Amino acid sequence: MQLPESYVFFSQPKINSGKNAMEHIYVELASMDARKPLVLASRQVTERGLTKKFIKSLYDSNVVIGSLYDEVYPYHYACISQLNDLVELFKARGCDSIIAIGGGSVVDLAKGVNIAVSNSGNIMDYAGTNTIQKRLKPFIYVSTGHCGGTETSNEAYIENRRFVSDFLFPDVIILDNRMITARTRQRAAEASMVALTAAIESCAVPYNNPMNDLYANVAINFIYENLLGVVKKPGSKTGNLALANAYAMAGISFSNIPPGIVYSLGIAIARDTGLPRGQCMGFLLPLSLEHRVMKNESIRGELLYALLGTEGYCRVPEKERTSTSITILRQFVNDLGGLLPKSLKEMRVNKYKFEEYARQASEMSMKRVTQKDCMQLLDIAWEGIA
Amino acid sequence: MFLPKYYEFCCRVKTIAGHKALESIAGELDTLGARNPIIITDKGVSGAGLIKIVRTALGKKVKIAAIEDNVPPDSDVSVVNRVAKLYKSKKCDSIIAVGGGSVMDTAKAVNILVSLGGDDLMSYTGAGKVTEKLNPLVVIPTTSGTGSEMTLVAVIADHARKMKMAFTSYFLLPDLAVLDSRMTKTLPPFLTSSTAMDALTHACEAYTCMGKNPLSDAYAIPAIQLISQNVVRAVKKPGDMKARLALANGSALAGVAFSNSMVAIVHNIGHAIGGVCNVPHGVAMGILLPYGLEYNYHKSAHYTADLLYPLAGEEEFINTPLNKRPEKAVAYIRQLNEDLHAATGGRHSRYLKEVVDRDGNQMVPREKFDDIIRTAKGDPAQFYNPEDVDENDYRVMLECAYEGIPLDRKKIKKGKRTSKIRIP
Amino acid sequence: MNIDRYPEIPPKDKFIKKAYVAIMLWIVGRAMQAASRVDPVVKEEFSHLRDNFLLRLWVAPNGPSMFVGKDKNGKVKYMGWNPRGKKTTLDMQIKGIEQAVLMFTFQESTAVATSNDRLIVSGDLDDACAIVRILDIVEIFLLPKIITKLAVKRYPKWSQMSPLRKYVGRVLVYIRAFTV
Repeated sequence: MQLPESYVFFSQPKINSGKNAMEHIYVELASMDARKPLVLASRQVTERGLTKKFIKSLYDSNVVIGSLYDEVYPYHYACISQLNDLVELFKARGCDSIIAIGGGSVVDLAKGVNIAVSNSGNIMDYAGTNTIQKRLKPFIYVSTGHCGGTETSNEAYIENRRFVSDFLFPDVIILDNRMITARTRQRAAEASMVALTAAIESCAVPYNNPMNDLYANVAINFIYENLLGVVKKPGSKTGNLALANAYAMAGISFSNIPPGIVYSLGIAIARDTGLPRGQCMGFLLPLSLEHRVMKNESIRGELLYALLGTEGYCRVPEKERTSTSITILRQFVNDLGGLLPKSLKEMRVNKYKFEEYARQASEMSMKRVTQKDCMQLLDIAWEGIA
Repeated sequence: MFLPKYYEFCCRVKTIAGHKALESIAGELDTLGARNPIIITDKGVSGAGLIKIVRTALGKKVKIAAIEDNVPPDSDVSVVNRVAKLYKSKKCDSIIAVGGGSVMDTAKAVNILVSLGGDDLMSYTGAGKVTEKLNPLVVIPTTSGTGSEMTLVAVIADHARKMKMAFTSYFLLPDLAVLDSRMTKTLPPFLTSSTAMDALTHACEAYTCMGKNPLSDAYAIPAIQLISQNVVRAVKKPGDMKARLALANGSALAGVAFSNSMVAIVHNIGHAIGGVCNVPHGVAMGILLPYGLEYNYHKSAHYTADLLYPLAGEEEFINTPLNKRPEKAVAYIRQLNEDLHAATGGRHSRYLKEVVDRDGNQMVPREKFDDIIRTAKGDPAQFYNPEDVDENDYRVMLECAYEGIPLDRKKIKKGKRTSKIRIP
Repeated sequence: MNIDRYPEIPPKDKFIKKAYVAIMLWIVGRAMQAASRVDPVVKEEFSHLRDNFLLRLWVAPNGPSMFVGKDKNGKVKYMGWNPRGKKTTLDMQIKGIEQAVLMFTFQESTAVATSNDRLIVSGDLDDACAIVRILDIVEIFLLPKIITKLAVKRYPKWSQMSPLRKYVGRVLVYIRAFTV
């Protein structure tokens, strides 16, 4: 194994995963000296009966839910007026911690509330990278198997501004079988593509970071081994739990590296068209790898290790590892059948907007990817993978 | 990949590794809001000139408020109290711990006292009693073995009351672990080999025992890889900085793995041998590791089989059929012990009979087996082992480890086989 | 925003589960006392414990609990459920009522529960190890093989625990636990 000359790694969250994980919430709160959380959930979560299960899991503990606010809508971004209401609620009830159930905007909102109640002044002043200087209140994230890529990471989007700070990591991630129930096949596929993109791109840098890579590897492996099963049988308990684990780990590995080309393009396109993020990431991912091979950039063979595990990895000769892993990925996305589009044409994206997407993507990745590369990739993606 | 019904995983330590990692401490201290750090270390470390390197790397901007370089290898409460007093009198606000396990445990305990106030350490013993963020703690390991830089446990002895206090809390995790190749460069070959075997044992036990989970597995595999590829190199050529950095990394990764999955039978017996005969921990680990793996064959041979890849490399792995892999992996570890024995000029012990103290006296004579077994029965690490252990099993293992022959599996009791691989 | 729309939610009690666990704890406590009189191995294990030994096995944060300890004459006794006025030397805490139900319905063995971080032990670890061994034997006495197999790591073979000892022990433990 090759070690880099130097690397840095940090991940704050503790992961509690599996049977009765939610019953451990009160222990986690107590260990952080908190006993009155503000609970945020999305409307859907309540409609699916999950908030009830959550409340029941806290029975017989000393935890009083300060307030349960469940009027967050998914696919909206966290907006400032709602955030201010929640801050007021937090303070009125004397809460000392935050729990978010769900994904996407709920978590963004929770992170925003956490910044606001722990710091003084206008919350928008803290936008940007590493502007938060202080430890925030304990924050627990209860996954429902949704993945927007940022839930378990160190960033949040509020009013479309990006907040990045190591203090924004959740302190505890709860992955409980009861909360991660069957969703539509399409949601599972989309969420998995976002996580897969985040994981693969976080190790798609020329230097390796052993700790970061291993989180990414676990995520990639879980998705590759379980997604097709879940798509066939959306009720599969172990499958869904494994996927939720993958999403959590992808978020963590993604936090230590600026976003890559597919991720940032995916976000840019999703923001403009209003389509879910995962849709275009699926076919962009293998294409971007091929594009990189075309440019003679190296892709580390470890990707194959992550996909196939030890046995399969060792059986493929070293030279063929990159190409094999790309073939496998292509096949994998194809196997999802009609769940995801296979080209930008199919998604009815307007060609004249490509330049705008490329600009946004390059900006978001902090210039890790160039506009030129983005344009090239978008052109290839117009025809997509057939 | 294996996903258990339930698991918990936590590794909150920011890790900086590299040949020039020390230089980034100053910046990190600044982000942590630390202005007046105290350095805690031991005589060996400061004698080897390592503190000088750290101070140079810290630069002129960081003012060291105090240095405590007299932490004994078996630190106790009085030392903790003394250092805490020094910390307070010099108005420090953070700790930099440079050293091995004892120094780090002391630093963690001092941090409890100075952050939470009071002078009675006793009231914080047990699991999860510390519920607040403590002052910034930076650790710089100088032995690559214990993995203490990544663990949430601190054990402090109270010699006056004849007891050991254990503290566990996620707030005991250091804020920053700095793995720098310069810090382990001066570690003598004999210590390098035994501490590396300690780390290897952490990783192997984490992978094969009951508390395993996907992340601890993922940490264990590269840890084993790094150690197995580099330990002989580092022993033969102490100045090999690449190998040094690899070992430091391997040990840290193994530390994360075992602190989240716990250790089992090898540590169980190892603790007992250490307690009764004062054998250094790493020495006992190296000798016992193959026996622990063999003992658990019928429960976890399929996991032991996976270890062959990081230990011996892919060539060996694919050329060995599945049902031979566990034995190959164990044989590889035995061979590693042999190689280290040769490379250290015979100072690295391969079996218990060989363990001698400075004067050449045998440290683990057969007469002490009874004591060892009694102590081992009171060590909780046995509960993380997939198979139960009783007196007879302990004795068989000790006898075999004494002579250096493979474990006689006919003589031990076995529960139901759960491993897919059948080994007689 | 009208904050009264989002009221506080205090936790409710889980009476039935608590009652079930309380009964199981009572049986285990009584059986430990009985086994210490009947079975030589259990007697031996208890004799190594300290004189003022008192175990509390309970469910956090406010679930049922059970005390077993040595009385003044050094005899092992079940000491009820009330923590008032008792000084425990060994505290075994199950993290929550659901976790306790998992354990006492034998879905999760003691060993698995420990490695899953569901059990917190504080006090002398030597004693804790002995108690876990005693609990294993008590379970063998109390329950049929098919269930105990789920709870212990290795069920003793005939050669390790003679059927005579097992069945006579089982009858005696049951009689003593529920009568004396």
